[in-house]
Amino acid sequence: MSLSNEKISDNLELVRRSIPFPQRFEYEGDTINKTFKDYKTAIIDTVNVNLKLLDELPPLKTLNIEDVKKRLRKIVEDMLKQDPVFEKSVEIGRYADDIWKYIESYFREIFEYHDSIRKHLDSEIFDVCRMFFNSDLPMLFLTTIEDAILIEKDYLDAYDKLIHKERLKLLLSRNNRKKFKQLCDAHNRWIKPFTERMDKLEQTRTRLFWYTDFNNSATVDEIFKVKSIRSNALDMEIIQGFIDDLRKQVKEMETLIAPKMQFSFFMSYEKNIGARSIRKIMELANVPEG
Amino acid sequence: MSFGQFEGFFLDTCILLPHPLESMMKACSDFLKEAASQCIISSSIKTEALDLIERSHIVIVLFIHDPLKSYLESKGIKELGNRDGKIIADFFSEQKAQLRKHHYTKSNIQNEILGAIENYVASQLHSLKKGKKLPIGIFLPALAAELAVVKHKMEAPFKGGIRCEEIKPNDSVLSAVVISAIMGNEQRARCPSSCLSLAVPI
Repeated sequence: MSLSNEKISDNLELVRRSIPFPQRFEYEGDTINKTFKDYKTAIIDTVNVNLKLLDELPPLKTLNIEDVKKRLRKIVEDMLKQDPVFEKSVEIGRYADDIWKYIESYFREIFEYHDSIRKHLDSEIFDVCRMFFNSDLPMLFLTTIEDAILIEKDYLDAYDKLIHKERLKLLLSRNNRKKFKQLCDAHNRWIKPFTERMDKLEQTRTRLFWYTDFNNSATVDEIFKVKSIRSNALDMEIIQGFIDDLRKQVKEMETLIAPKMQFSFFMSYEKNIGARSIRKIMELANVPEG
Repeated sequence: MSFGQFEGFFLDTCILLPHPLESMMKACSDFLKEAASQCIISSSIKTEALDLIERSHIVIVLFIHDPLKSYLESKGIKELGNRDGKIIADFFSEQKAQLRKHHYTKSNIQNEILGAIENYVASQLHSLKKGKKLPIGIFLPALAAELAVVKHKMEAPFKGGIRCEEIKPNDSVLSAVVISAIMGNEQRARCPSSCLSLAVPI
């Protein structure tokens, strides 16, 4: 029988070998010291759990409680030090603690990364405007690339809102492997169609920009430099093809993202002169002629 | 409220677009905060609004791209600061004078469109830090870049968050409307495209 095989000594070992999850350890210093400190703290905690159990016993009739405590402390300490199962439980406790930290760091990194991406995308909008202002390219070239960049920003906003919710669920389920896995699977399921389309969209946008820039560069040193862009250096049918592709992909992305978007309301245009100008022209365009 | 098979509040464009009046804006905002989930926009409203926003945005950008940029280059102006408002004012005066000469109409629409563009350019110029000069190769694209973000924000309520439904009118209702429009109105009631195209004297 496996139970009897495992029982090497005849001593009674009926003590609690673990402390409840989640375990929170606060350590400083290098990993070896940290691991050792984890282990020592876990022993102290487990000994205390056992001593607390002793306190909860009805008064002993024959033995002095302080002597028992002293003896029990020694037995439990020695036992735990030789027990690989206890060591394992400390290790698992460390993982549980690390998962918490990893999840926290992971999400913090994601949000910071997305903020950097947003700034990068803003700079790309400016770059494409700059290219357009140095060119005789059609307006559709500019608006299509702008829309493709701005839909990426919408995607990041929607993604951040959703993973804010997922983050909380993951943290609460960090000790439940099955639930944790289900949450990760659900996340991967909803994210897949977005990332696939977003990759495609970004590739088409890059191709359009590169094709325009490279064909207006006389030497390789000129690529990505601010310069005059002439449409006669380009095959406008190819440009139109890229624009059509990109517009189609933006529309697809808009449809996909719409249910995930939260209603956002533009505040008074008194605070935004650009909105006021667009709004004014919209109103004027609706005025009856005559 | 029930409209055939749809149930909810049908929104018009003006509810979802920014307003000049704070009080009006607050009223719309409060209503939408409360009832956005029960609101509906018809696909025709959505298409019209997005189309108008897009075309109004294009009018401004094309105007900055061509007449304004060409004017500044022809005058040898390489950079602009917040004290150069007169340069912009002179340019727009010239444009308005040309408009009066070439496109005389009873309405003042083109003039007002020019005024809206002038407002945008002048305000952005005045918002530059005192003493800071920007090359026009940076200032003009920055105007367009900022406007692209504004346009996108204005489009947002029409693109997500509010349920959109396509409503096909009953054929008999449609015929009645078309006949009454033909009989009752010899002139075109609306002509947005002609208004907008005249605003850009390229």
